[in-house]
Amino acid sequence: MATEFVAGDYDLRGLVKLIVTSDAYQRAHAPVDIEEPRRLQMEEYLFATPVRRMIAESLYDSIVTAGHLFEVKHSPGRNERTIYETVRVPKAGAEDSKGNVGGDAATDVAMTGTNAMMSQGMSGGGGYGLEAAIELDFAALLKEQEGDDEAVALDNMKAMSKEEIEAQRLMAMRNARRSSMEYEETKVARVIDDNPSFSSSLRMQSPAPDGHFLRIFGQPNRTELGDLRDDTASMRQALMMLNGRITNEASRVGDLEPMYRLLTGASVDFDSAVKLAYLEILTRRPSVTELAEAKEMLAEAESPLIGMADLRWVLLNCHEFRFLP
Amino acid sequence: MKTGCAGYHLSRRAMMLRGGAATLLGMNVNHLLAAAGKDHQAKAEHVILFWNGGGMTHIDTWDPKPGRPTAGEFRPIKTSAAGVEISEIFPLLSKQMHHAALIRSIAGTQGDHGRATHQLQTSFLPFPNLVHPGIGSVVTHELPNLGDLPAYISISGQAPKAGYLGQRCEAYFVANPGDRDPYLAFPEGIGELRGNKRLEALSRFNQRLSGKSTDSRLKATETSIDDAVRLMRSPALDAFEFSGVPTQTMQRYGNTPFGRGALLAKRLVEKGVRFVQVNRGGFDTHANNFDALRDHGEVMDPALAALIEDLADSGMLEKTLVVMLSEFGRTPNVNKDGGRDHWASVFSCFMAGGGVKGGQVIGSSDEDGAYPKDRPVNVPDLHASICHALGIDHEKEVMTPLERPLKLVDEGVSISELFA
Repeated sequence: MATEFVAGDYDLRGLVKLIVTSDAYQRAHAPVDIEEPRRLQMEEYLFATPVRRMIAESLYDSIVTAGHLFEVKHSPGRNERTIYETVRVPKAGAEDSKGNVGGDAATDVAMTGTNAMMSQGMSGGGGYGLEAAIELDFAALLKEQEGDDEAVALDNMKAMSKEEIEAQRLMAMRNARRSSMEYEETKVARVIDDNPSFSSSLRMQSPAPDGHFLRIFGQPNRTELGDLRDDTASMRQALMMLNGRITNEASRVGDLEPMYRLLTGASVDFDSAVKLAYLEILTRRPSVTELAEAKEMLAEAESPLIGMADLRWVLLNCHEFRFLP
Repeated sequence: MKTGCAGYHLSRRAMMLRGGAATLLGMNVNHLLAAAGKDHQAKAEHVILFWNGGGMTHIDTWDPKPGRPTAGEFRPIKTSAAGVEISEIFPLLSKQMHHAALIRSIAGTQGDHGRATHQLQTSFLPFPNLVHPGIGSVVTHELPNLGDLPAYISISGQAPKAGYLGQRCEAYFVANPGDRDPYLAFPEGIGELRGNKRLEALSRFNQRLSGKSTDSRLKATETSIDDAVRLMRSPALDAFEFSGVPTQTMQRYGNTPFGRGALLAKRLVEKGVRFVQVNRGGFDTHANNFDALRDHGEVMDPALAALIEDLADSGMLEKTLVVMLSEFGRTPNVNKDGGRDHWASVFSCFMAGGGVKGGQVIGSSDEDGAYPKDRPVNVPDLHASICHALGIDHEKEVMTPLERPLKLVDEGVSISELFA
């Protein structure tokens, strides 16, 4: 391995790749069908890694990976839907105290949902914002700030105390109320291509906002030393996995992923489809009984695509996916 | 969701049955109380906690100081409780004050938002290597759940964490009261039939692994799924749905997020929810205090008044303790920006129902509203009183996961005058 490392011009990434793709690394710690007392004994003597639940970030990323959600998996137009938003627009012709004509203030359109955390990813998400990949814009964060007026203003903001910011907010609230500008609420329909794509939790702010998928699955908020990772089960976690958008989208079969061709068209191959699902989600092949059971699910469903979505949903929700190894 | 205590899984019906059987067996009252999770006889079964984040001024709300230089812009008004006056920003609530008690002598010690919030919500001062549970978690840890809904629900903001009491005592979070919560139903496009088939298959798959394992984590995960499914199928979920609520009722609460929060809180306790926390911020009025408070009054007054009135009319007020808390008060002096700054030395809180004797004021501040004059109340006394109202022994010790014994409430003493 040392030779390989030197030969590869000290490429760490390549070294890691070499290790994780090696046969030795990929072997199970213990046989899959091992009896529990024997496994516990192996764990005790450090022959096998103790069974553990995936941490929040791994779980999130694993679902995104297994479900082909890093990139869009449906052709454009297949996920179109109409969403309705309530927006606040200035009444036509109304003028505020500064003489701005309200009519052209289309840029002033504000979502009425005030909860900053929820409003992110709300549009089209149908209220599933708690699972959104709240991606940080690294390019913008790393950009040189010199001469950038906006960035300087932002720095000044940071220099203000919390109280000053609050005072400013209250003042703005009052001013908004006092101005004679009149607003009305209207419902606007908009067609969007709601093609799901998620990002890695590695690219998200940490800790994630309160109530986010990662926090629900035990990511600590790092404000206190005593705030440790929590890996106990809760009903909220169950609701998020059973009914959440990320599991649902990961389960759906997109026409751009390899699975699609095994379930539709001329070369339908249910055996390979089930095997692929098991490999993608549980990283192993199904047993004979599991294969038969899964094929039955595909046959019973309205269509093989729907049956496969159901199978994948079950696999993503089952113990074997969540608990390692 | 059940409470964190194994063996406390008693429904109201089961409690009745057990009560009946107990009389036959001649069990004494203490045994009966223990069966219901209670330490002593108490009237309250539910709590609605309004959390006013930012530090609400006491002088401009519950503790007016007319004629003093610190009085500010508001005048006091008479209320339905003889001799009790509150600020003019609460005209509707003033007619319900015979149900409510005010504590005007809370002697706080923390003037920083973070520390004070921690203390007011948990009774403990922050400690670096402990996450103290909020009072809602304490209540849900100690008392059995009374229905299908989660025992502890936080509206329009996050409640404090359950800390060492564990995940099962965490609050269920409702972001916008009245909005559909997508997590309480199968995902869009998944019908009832298909969803149930998925659940059956999942249970079959899971059994295969957990059936031959003694790992309690697998069982706990299955229990959490069962709890989730029970909640999804519960008729009590109607409480979240406002479509059947008459417009007039919505108007009475003031059709604001806070008003809807108060209305949702009422509907939830009617379905058996133990503890509802309604969060609201914007009280950190360092500038333009009076304009801000006038706005707050417009929002809070109808909601609180309608809530107290409705609970009293339906008889629920007797067993529902309504509390309004904030982390501290604000300075008697008005600053150059027309604001008031942080002031913890004395502040007030509002309590009603759940056995609290209405129409009274406990303690008082000095003539300028700067320090307690008589009957100073320590912050943990409030939590001890909430526990007392519910029949919880607040001195009971619980073990943290690191086997450190801690009392449910940090050295508080219940305020005996509060209760009739």
